[in-house]
Parts: sequence; structure tokens; C-alpha cells
Amino acid sequence: MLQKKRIHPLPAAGAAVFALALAAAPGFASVYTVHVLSVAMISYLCVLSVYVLLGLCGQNSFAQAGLWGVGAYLAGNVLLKTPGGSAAAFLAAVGGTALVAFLLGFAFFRLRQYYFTFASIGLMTILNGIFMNWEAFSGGAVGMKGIPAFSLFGWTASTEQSKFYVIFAVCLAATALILLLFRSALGRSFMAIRDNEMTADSMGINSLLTKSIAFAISGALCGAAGALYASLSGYLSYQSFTYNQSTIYLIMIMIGGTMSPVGAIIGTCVITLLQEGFRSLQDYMQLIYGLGVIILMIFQPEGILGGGRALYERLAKRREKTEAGSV
Amino acid sequence: MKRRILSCMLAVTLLAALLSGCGQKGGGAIKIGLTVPLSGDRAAEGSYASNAAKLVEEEINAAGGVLGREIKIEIQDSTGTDVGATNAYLKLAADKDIVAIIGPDNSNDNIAIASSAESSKILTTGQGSSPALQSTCEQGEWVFQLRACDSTLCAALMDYACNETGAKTFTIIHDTETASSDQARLFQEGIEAQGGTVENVLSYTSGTKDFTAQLTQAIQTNSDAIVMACLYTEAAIIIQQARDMGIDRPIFGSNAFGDPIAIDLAGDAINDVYSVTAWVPNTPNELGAAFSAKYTEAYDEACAKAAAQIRDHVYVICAAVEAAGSTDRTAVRDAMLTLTSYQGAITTYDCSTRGNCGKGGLIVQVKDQVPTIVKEITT
Amino acid sequence: MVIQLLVSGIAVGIVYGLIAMGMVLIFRTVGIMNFAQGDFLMFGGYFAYTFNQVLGLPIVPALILASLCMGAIGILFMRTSYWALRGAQAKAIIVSAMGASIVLKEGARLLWGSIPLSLDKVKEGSVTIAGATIQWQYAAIIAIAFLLMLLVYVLLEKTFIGYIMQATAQDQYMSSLSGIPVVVSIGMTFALSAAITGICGGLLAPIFFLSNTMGATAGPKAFAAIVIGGFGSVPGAIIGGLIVGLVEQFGGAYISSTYQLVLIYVVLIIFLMFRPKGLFQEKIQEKA
Repeated sequence: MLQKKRIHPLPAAGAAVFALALAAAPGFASVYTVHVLSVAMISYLCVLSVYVLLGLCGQNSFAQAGLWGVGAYLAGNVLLKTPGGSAAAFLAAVGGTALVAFLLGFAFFRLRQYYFTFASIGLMTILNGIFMNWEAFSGGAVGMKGIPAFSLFGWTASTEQSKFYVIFAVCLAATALILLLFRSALGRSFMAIRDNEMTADSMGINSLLTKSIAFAISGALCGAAGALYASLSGYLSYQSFTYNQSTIYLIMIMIGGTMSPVGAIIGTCVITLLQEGFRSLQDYMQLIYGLGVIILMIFQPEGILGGGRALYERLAKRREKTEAGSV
Repeated sequence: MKRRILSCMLAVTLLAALLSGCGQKGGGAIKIGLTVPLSGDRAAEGSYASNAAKLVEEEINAAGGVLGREIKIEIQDSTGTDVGATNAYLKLAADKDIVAIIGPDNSNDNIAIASSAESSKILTTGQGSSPALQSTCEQGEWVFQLRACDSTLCAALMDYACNETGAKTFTIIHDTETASSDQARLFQEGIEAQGGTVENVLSYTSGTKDFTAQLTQAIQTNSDAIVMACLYTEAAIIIQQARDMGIDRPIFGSNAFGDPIAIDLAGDAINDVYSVTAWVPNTPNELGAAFSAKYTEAYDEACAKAAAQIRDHVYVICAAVEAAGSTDRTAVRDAMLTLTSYQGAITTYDCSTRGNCGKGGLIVQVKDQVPTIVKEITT
Repeated sequence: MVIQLLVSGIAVGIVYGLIAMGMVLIFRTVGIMNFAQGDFLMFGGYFAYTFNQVLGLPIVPALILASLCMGAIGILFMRTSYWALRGAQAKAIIVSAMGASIVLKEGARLLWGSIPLSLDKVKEGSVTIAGATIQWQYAAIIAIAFLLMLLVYVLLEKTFIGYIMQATAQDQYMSSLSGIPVVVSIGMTFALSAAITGICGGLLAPIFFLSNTMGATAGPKAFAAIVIGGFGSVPGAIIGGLIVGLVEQFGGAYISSTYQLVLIYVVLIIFLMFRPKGLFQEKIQEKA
């Protein structure tokens, strides 16, 4: 029998239902829920950037929250100091962060594996130091306030609900683009580097350039997330863009599964739920969150998606057997 | 296929869990929201605040409550980040029974929630003291800075330093964290306004534990006095190291240097240090002394500013509710604006300005590990 | 001023070096960077506090008891966050260590509260040599650090247990074939690492004070020390720690006090660019 890649009707329906449920949420949910979902979607963009780097290209970076900050401050600067408006701010954030990431990647990706990871921890600390102290760019420790909401052609996203839909649209577009990337030649060269960098090199892939491009794409995603965050919260402070935040993104993608953007969705949902859903536990909330991470890792080291896939394959095999038996 | 089902199930669980939190209706109690960091770097502030909240709730209910109803203080963890603060704030604002919300412990987080406060249209009292928060409050409609702004306090301390201790040249050491760098700037302005000179400004990143680099430079600059703006743990560390290195010239510090935590940690090293603060546990204010004693009896620890501040915020909000005669959010906010001289445990509040509502402060000098008032600031 | 900076740089550097040494011991054995090492530091400090301040023991026995308790915590950590995941990819173990780090931080806060605490110094006061002042506590830390390094050296190089631990570090599968109980050997390594870092926490607590985020700044600096010193090298970790300490002091005094922390990481990145293997080569071969 020929193995053919086709779209399974049930998963496609599942994704559609999830997207529709999410899109309908602002209709009946409270402002709090809508805001939490908006923040979760912004986190999802950053987690998606970790997916591109770690899941596709096999590189582990702890600088993602720093890139997120670069995007946010770039957007904030354009909105507050130039007449460019939201579209220009968004493009500046995406393009600027991608450029920064590309250049940094070109410098840092001479280092392999662990060494790159450590350089990224250093980079994160340096970026946070810059956000905290460079007054002309970031407003210094006081931060940047009064950033206007997203607006386009005279329409302004002034309510939580309308901001939600702007973010939702960007998330859909980003997911579609990353799925396209997954199927492209570039995506395949990412995966070749992930699986074995030396082999990839010998097959004619310029691994330094390719890894830098991966970093630039992840930078563009973080930049988009930053621009959205700037207009969602209206206020930026160095306290948001920390090493801790970067570790949360890594935790999210690992909990969900590094093999597909669906893993990023699952991870973001689960961690947001662990952090927000257990608010009534008050003092014990963070403890439960930490325990949850350990337990999930022990029982699903490949992420929830990986565990689900293994289960699915086992069931499929069993079904094949029974089908073969009945013939 | 299963994974998609799984992801759908997770999504549904997520939505259900989030929605279930919003539908609960309280009984007859008047609810006041409180967002403080119960976890993260500044969890100490949260523990003082939740202790004080419990105490004040009992106190007010024992005295008959507000408008004949009991009050209930609902606490949400702001986790010490502005994202966490906004989530916690909106969670409280979504509860229709909550009449007012006490904002997080620092200025940045208060500025972060300000736009949510304007759109949720609910009375919010900010605990931060920065000039940036003051302007945010004055520009908005719903947020009140229920505290004396640092600009008044820092200028007063520098006035005292220049005119009463005779110091003319200063070296400033400060944390790059928001409140401290703000205070350092205000100290500098204060010194220059009094005709003094700032010879050197040194700073360090939050979390630094060894200050030799800063202190050796301060010794070399050899100014008449050193001005420090730090948080309480770093205040205790830096003062110990300064004394070890033999620095005995006058030291003027931010409010952290009069804080019981810093004094406890630093021991004898902190003696003779001047600082400016709104609150000391041995306050001359009658209401304050009563609350301080009650707090220490209940929890066996000194009553820090974070605790006293919550007490005042709750009382001011209750006064606004009494004055409004209802729990309508707009009526309560309007009533708040009419409170022009409410006597609290820390100081007197004039809420008509929204920003910089607390009046006055204290210049204290630590003597035998007790902050002793050397001058009261009245403005 | 130079002497003062040098003395403080060495004192602080030794501390980073000790934490880094704890991490290196684990890295050599299981090939994983322990992202919860900074929290071992904090937990050790709290144990020392409990024995010293709550139970009223003198500081030296309190430190020894604290290090024993930390040994137990190390084994517990190994069983939950490493051993259960040993078949999985390295990233999964890193994430579970991050989870453990949150649990340790929050656990400490629930057990000991969030208000910073202090405990007794080994010796109060300070001494002035050649115009440079050094606290006795720092002098004690340097002395104890050398003692610990010597102990670790003797343990690893001269004793049977050390041979077992080194063999496990070289090749887990081979050593299990030659009858070495790998789980015991790895457990010993984690216990040793946690105990060293725990003592360090107890020694630092009186000068830096105890809070549940105490490890958050020391941990990343220890990472930098490891990279500068060379992965997997114990002497390299100490030398790396000293370099970090000296860069912190001299950079803070002569370049910029504001960007003191940033400077450390600039040096780290320069090292990575131009000498990625660090100052010392690894003794254990790189694992494929």
C-alpha cells in the first residue's frame, strides 16, 4: 500500500473547532479571560519561535524573551516618536528584530550546541541590562508608558476584545507561515542540521547561514509578539523581558512537544492553565506549577504531543492487526 | 488524530477552568480586591500585605463593617511582574461585587495596570511612590496614588542633609531598579536645589551582592556624605560592607534604610544612617501606634510599611464607600475625591489630587537599631 | 584601591568557583548542566539557618549538618529529576531541573517565609592587610574552599568510591557491565555536589542574607565560570570563578558600575568566540 501524506479529516476538524472556540471566546468570556488568552497567544508566538529554533533546527536559545523585548521596544519607539503608525511599528518590530537576530546568529552560531546555549544566556542578560539602563531607547528602569493601541485605516483596537482579534489574526498567519516553512526546502535543511550538523554540511548546506536564518525567523516571530504586547499592555518595563521568561517558553514547548506547532499550542495552554487556573490556591500556586512541570516531564518526556502520538501509533497498529485478522 | 483530540480536550479544559473562576457570586459582604506578589522576588511585601489584610478585615467587621455590611478582602497574586499584575488585576475587576482594588506594591506594576483600571472603571489605589505614577494618576480618572510621592520626601531629606548636617559634596550610589533610580535622580535634584554638588553617581544592577567596586570608588571620591538608594536586602548588605571598609562619614538613605527588615539584617552597622520614610513601627501617630502594636502581637514581627500601608488603603476605601452610601463603583470613586483630610495610620490623605495623596513624612536616624525621628516633614 | 578590588574579587570569585565546581561534578557524570544548582545554594543556607538559629547549634556543626541534609536533597533531586528521565533527551532533563528549581524556591518560601534572614558568621569582624579590608567571613570561605577542593580531589582521585564515580562519568554502560552500581555512583555524585554547594550557601548567608531567590544571581555567574574555565574541568571551574569575580570588581570600578553584570557576560561571549573550549580541556571525552 502506498503511504501518502494527506490531511486527516478528524485532526483538521479538531483544529478548526479549537480555532473557532478560541475566536468565539470574547463573545461570552470576561475581560480577564480575554486578556489572559491574549497574553497566552503572545506567548504562543514566542513559543513558536522556540519551535523553529529547537524543534526544527535543534538549537536551544535562552534569549527569546530578550528578542521579544527588542520587538516591543522597537514598536514602542516607532509609535511614540515617529508619525509612522501601527503598521509601520509592526513592520519595524518584525523586520528590526529579525535583522538583530540574524546578525547575532551569524556571530554566535559559530558555536555549537551547549556553547551556543550559554552564549544565549549571556545575550539575554546583556539585553536585559540594556532595557534597564538605556534611557533613550527603553525609557530606562521607569519604562515606556502611554503606547497607543493598534490601529489601521482609522480603526482602533481600543477594547480587550478587539485587541484579542488582532493578536488572533497574527497568530493564525504566523502558524500558517510556519507550517509552510515546515514543508519547504529551507525547513528541510533546518531539520537536516538538527539531525546531524556534520552530515548536513557535507550535503552542501551552509549550516552557519541556515542556522542564522532560523534565528532570524524566530526573531521575526518574537518581534511580532513584542509589537502586539506593546499595544496590548500600553506599558513596557524591563521586568517583563527576563531570563526567567525565556525559561518559561522552553518549558512550554517541552511540555507540549517539540515536533509540531501543535506542541507549542498545547504547551502554552497547559502552562497558562497551571499558572492562571490555580489562582485560588494562592500561596501554593507556584509550587503546584513547578511540581506539574516535573511530573509532566517524567511521564511525557517527549511532550504531551509526543505521548499522544505514541499512543495513537500503538492504537493504529492494533487496529491494523485486527483488520488483517478479519480479512 | 488522538493528539488533536487531546489538544481539543485541553483547550476545552482551559476555557472551562478560566470561565468557572468568573461566575462565582459573593454573599452580602462588600468586597475589596488586593493585588500583591505572594510569590517571586518581592514575596516579602505580599506576606506583610496579606497579614495586614486579615487583621484589618477582622477589625472593621468587629466594629460593625461598612454600611452595615461586612467587608471581605480578596487577594490575587501579582507574581511580581507587570504581566502577572495585570492578570491578577483583571481577575479581580471581573468580579462585580468588588468595589475597589488596591494595586500592586511597586510603581511599575501600578503603571502597567493603570490602563486596565481606566477601561474597567473601578477605583484603584496605587501603592507605588514614583513621580511617574503620580503623573499617570493625575492624567487618569480611576487610579489614586495613596501615598506621599518620592519627590517630596527625597527633596526634604536633601534639604536636611545640606542645611542641618552641613554636608556640601555628595556621592550617590543607587540600584538601577525603578524606584531606586528614580529616588537617586530626585536626591540629585534635591542636592542641586540646595546648592550642594554631586561629585559622583555610581550604580549597581539589582541582585548585586558585593559592593566593593562601588564603595572603593566612593571612598576615592571623598565627598562629605554618601547618599544611597537601595532595596532593603541590598541596603543591609551595602551598609555592612561600607562599615567594614571603614566608611564613617554621614550616610543618607532611601526609605529602605529605615525599614525593620534592613535594620534587623544589618545589625549595628546601620546605626547613625539617616533615611526618609513615611512610616516607622514606633510611629508617633496614634492610629499607627495602635495598629503597629496589634500587628506585632498577632504575628510576632515588626510592622513594616507594607503592612501599615494596606491598613490605610483599606480604611480609606471604606471611608469612600461610607461617604458614597452605596457600592456603585462610580459613586465610590466620586466619594473618594471628596476625602480631603482623612486621618490614617501613616499620615493624612488628601485624595482630591489623585496623585501624591499622602501628606508629609519622617526623616529618621537609626540609633541603637531603632529608627528615631529627627524631623517631621509637613507639606 | 587595586589591592582592595583584588582581594574582594578573589573572595567573591572563590564562591562562584565553588558553585561551579558543584555543577561540573554533575556535568562530568551525566553530561547535563544542572539548572537548579543555584537553588541548592539557597536551600543549604536555609538548612544552616535552621540548625544555627532555630536549634541554636554553633555555626560549624550547623554547616556540617546542613551539608548532610543537602546530600539527601541531592539524592532526592537525582531520583526525581534525573533518574526518572535518564533515557530522555537532555532538554527534557533540563526542563525537569527547571521545574525542580521552582519547587525548591517555592518550598523554601513556604517553609521559611519570604522575609530575608541572617545567621552567625564563622568569625565576626574584618581584618586590614596592606590597606585592603577583608571580612573574616570571606577569609573563612577561602580557607574552607581550599579544604573542600582538597577533599574532592582526594575523594575522586585516591579513593575507591572516587574511581567508581569517575568510571561512571567516563562510560555508564561499560561501568554497569563491570559491576558498578551506576545508580549509587550517580547518586553519590549528586549528593557530593549538593553538599558542597549547600555549605557554600551556609557560608554566604551571613554576608549576602538568605532569601528564596538567593541562587538566582549566583547560578548564572557560576555558569559563566564553567564556560570560561572549560566544561567538565574542576580546576577550570575554580579559575573561571576567580576570573568572573575579578572582572566583576575591576570592571565595576574602572569601566562601568551600571553595566557590571553585563560586563561578565561580554567576557563570557568573548571567551566563547575565541576560546570556546575554555582554559582547561575536559578530562572526560566529549560525549557523542
